[in-house]
Amino acid sequence: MGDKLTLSLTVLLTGFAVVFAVLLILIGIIKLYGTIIYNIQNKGHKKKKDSPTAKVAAQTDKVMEPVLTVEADPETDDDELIAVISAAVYSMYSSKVQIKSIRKAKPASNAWRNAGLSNLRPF
Amino acid sequence: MDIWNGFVEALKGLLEQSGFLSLSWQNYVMMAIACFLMFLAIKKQYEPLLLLPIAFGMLLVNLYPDIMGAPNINLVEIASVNDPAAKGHVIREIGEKIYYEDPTYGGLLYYLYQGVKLGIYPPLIFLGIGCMTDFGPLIANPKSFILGAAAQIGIFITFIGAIFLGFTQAQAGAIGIIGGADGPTAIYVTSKLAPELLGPIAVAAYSYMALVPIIQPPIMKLLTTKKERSVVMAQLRPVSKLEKIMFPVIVVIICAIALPSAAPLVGMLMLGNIFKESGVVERISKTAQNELMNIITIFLGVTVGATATGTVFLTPKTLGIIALGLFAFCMGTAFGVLFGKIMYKLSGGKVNPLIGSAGVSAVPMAARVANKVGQEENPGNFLLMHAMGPNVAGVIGSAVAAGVLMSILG
Repeated sequence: MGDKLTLSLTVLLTGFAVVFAVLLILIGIIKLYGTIIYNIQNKGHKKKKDSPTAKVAAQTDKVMEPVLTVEADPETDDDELIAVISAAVYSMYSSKVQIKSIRKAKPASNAWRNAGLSNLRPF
Repeated sequence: MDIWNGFVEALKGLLEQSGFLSLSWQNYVMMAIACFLMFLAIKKQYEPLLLLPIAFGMLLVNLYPDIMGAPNINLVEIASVNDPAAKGHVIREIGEKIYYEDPTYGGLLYYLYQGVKLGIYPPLIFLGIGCMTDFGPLIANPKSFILGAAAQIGIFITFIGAIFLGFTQAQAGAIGIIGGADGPTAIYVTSKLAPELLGPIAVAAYSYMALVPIIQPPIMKLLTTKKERSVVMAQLRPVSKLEKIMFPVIVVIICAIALPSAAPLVGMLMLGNIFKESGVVERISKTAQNELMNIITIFLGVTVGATATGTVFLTPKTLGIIALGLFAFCMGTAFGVLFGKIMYKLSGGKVNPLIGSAGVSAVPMAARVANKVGQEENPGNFLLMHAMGPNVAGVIGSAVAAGVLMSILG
């Protein structure tokens, strides 16, 4: 009984400490290099960001601009599509928003897409 | 007449070989369980990509146990070295007697099972998962790692429960890892620590992963207030490509130095991720996440299912494992949410504690559950990306926890 308790508590304590220690070190390093890289890249060229998350953010920023022109890309010049997208944007961001342009996003791999495809994934 | 006798003898031989005489009642019970699991996989679509091969492997091994039979060498006694029967065989002399070696070969699944037994398949699956995982949300919010670590506490608490229920320490470690909610990790640890429990543990781990949307929400709601669940989190900062490329290298260096036993799992996961993020080896990345992973999934599923023979599976221990596995899952979820609450307090209400539940891995199901429970309070609240952070941190966290268990108990 005593042995079992000692073993259990040793494993609990070691496991807890090691898992947290390793992940805390990772937090520190990732924060550090993340800040450095982010600052360097932001100074250099503010708009040139190429990660999928950046694209989403950049597009949202554009959408939020209160400009009153509605322009559509010739390729996606489809009244219904514009109506649907406008409705979706309106429902999320209220009436302050006007659509300036609609462009087809490049099929990049990101977490949203992964989540959508997850039915095809074994894990 | 000779022909007739030959015919009767042949039929007798076939009957003796057939399942009607050689199978025990346990085998028939297991066949019924296998059929039930197939029903769950096909009709209910519970993790069908794994549950279906597992269930069919179970069916096969209980119909024909020799399919998992190990190769063997029989010694046949002969009178002299020149005996014609011994021609082409290795001759052995033991004491006064002379034998020749008559090898029998293992069954089909025995050979495929070596990939599980030697710990080859789970890291290869991790390679494919690495190619499919976007660590962006985690890099944007590294604090998610805390939630990914917190959810692993369930593993170690379950270990204690298993020790006191009479399992050996190695078995207890393998049972605890079910709480990591990570199939390949659970199989990897079990194959190293307690291969005899592989069948029940794999079935428990994958069943609970499929049941995440049912198991988690009540715990999440119990531990949080309506106000906490309605927290809308600030949008994540954009993550540059360079950061994403550096991430796998840094993680693998830290993890492998700190905990070498976690290196096979974390190493393969990060190898896959750098394939994806570097963008220069798209062909390899596609193969690793599609063809290779599918092939390994088939082998892994069928052979893990084939470890579940009646005599191994139908014991009170299996019920214990299934109960402890559920406990592990619940504890992992609870600790994730509780640490989420701590972060909620410390951040002054900026963190939604629901994302803590995604720390149990089970990518991406657990993140979607967090998103869904959040939307029940506020339909305009999208927690998915925020929950993906702890979710992918949980994968790394459970691999580290696996490394700890293997180095202490192995």
